[in-house]
Amino acid sequence: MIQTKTRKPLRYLVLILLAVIILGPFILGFWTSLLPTADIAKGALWSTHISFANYAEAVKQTAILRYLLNSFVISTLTMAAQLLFCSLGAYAFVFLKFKGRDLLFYLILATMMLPFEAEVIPNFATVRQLNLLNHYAVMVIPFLTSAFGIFMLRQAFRQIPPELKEAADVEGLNHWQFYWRVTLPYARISLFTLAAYSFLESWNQYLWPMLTTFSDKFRPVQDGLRQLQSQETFNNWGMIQASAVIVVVPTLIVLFVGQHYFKNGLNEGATK
Amino acid sequence: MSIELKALGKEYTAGNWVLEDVSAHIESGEFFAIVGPSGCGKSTLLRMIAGLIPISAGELQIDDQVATNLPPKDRKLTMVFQSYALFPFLSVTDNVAFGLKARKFPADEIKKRVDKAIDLVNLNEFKDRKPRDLSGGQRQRVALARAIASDVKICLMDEPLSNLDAQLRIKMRTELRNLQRELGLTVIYVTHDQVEAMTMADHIMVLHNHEIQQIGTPLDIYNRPANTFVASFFGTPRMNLLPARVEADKELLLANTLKLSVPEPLPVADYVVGIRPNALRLLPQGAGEPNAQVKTVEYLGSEIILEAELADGTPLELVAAAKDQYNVGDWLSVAIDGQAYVFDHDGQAQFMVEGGTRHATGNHASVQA
Repeated sequence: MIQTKTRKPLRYLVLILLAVIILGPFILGFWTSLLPTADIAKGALWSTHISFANYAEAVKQTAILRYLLNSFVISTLTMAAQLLFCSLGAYAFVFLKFKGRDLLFYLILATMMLPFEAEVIPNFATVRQLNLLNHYAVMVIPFLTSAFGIFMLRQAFRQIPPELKEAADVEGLNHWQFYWRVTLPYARISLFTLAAYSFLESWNQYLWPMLTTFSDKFRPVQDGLRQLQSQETFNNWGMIQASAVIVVVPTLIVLFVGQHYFKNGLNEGATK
Repeated sequence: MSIELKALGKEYTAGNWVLEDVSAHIESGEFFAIVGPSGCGKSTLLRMIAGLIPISAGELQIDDQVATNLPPKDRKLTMVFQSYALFPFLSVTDNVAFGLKARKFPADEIKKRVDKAIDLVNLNEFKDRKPRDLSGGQRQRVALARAIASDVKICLMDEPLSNLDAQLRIKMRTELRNLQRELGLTVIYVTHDQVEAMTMADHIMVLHNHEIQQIGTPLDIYNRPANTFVASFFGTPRMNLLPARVEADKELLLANTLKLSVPEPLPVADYVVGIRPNALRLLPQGAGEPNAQVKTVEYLGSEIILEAELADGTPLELVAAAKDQYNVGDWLSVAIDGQAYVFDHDGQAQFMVEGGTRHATGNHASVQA
């Protein structure tokens, strides 16, 4: 590789550029959350009045902690449900043989092509009929499983060497035992990925909770944030920014913790 | 723990038989090899015995009990896979204990068995490692230990050594054989490697074209092949198969070149005569009429393999002493000096001639040992 020497700086330049584009707004947001609203309104970004006063205010004056709790409950439940149901679904599509299996799978895949916005009205009608509006259930039940999760785990389960199933058959493991003791540990990286993905997706939901929740008691963070802005006649931007940062922190934790598990090569050595 | 195969057959789609009429008796404590080229159905047969693939026809008995439709776990056997099939997220110890835990053995019993099995395969230092931190040979040993740890006495092995390098394979052959004897295991061993089968097995089943070609001891198979397939499959270098026709009253003419005298007159027909390279003698230069031309020369150190062509173009393999010098293009004079196998035009063994006398061959003598 003779080109390496000239290519490397170029690569880093592109990477740095991308990093600035992506991290810039975040850093700006974090910085403004430390400034008094008066300074932000004046556009004085290089202010020296740095403090955590906005954070204290956000916690005291708004229901941000309640929003966090709501989102945490909703996202955790959604994540757990998706892990369970997607893995069970994917298991059936890989290790069980039944008539119409592939057709059923393609049907599930096809639902991925339908944008969520298109499903909003029928879904809303359904949950209203079920009297689920303005409750945790309305934000969990429609998302108990996902076509994407089934698809992703099916791909992961298909990587399991057939010999492992045969070895388990010889030892007399039934489907539940094989699912629990071999499939899940083997595909744990994909499970972590799906867990992080479904948690974040649920955490970042905006449209659906906006339509189905009417009180701070059940409102999740993203809609809570919006609420902060419109409730005030005068927008306390410093406080809103502080709340936004508080809301982002859990997602960063999920990503950092998750990253630790996304290592390759964990399944090496099963077969040659 | 004997195993009886009674006319086993397998069809995946109606009328399309991948295996037909496979019958054999495998004694308790026997090392039984199933050999054949790739795609002959040997792995399918092993999986039918294991219960991983349903049996379409015939009956399987294990320990004198019908096991044709039993689920794998009730057949009281273990299996070692070509790819090892280790659980990558479990340590060596847990891999070996896997089956015992699944069968709900008491914890102290599991520990005892696992320790013993790991000790037998010399993996004591690696107990807590994960499969990814082991070499190929060590992984293979873990797979073996898993089979050994179980209390059952039948072990099915599907090409367990074929992923190892040549030297390790030879070493493991001996180890495997010793372990099998020591533990009194009944082993059914699938391989495509005829040398492995010859060196390890008590009995060999040769599979080809969906059918059993021959069952016998390694010596039987080598010395009395039932047909041309078996004859050419066993032995390196391969047996030469030469077209032959009746030339005179008690004489066959092979490839229009070599003469083979037979003890009694044969009906006029086409024959195939098999002669192993070591049963062909190279006459010293000048003696006899030159009848074969050297095409390639391979030096093996202890001997030389010559690929030659007879005068009519039929290829012929020969072995020569290492001290001699041969060049491509040399003309040699070759004579038959040893056993020659006479097959009919369908490749079925008729008899064997050695020094002008007739001996029976596999077809009639050793169909079932």
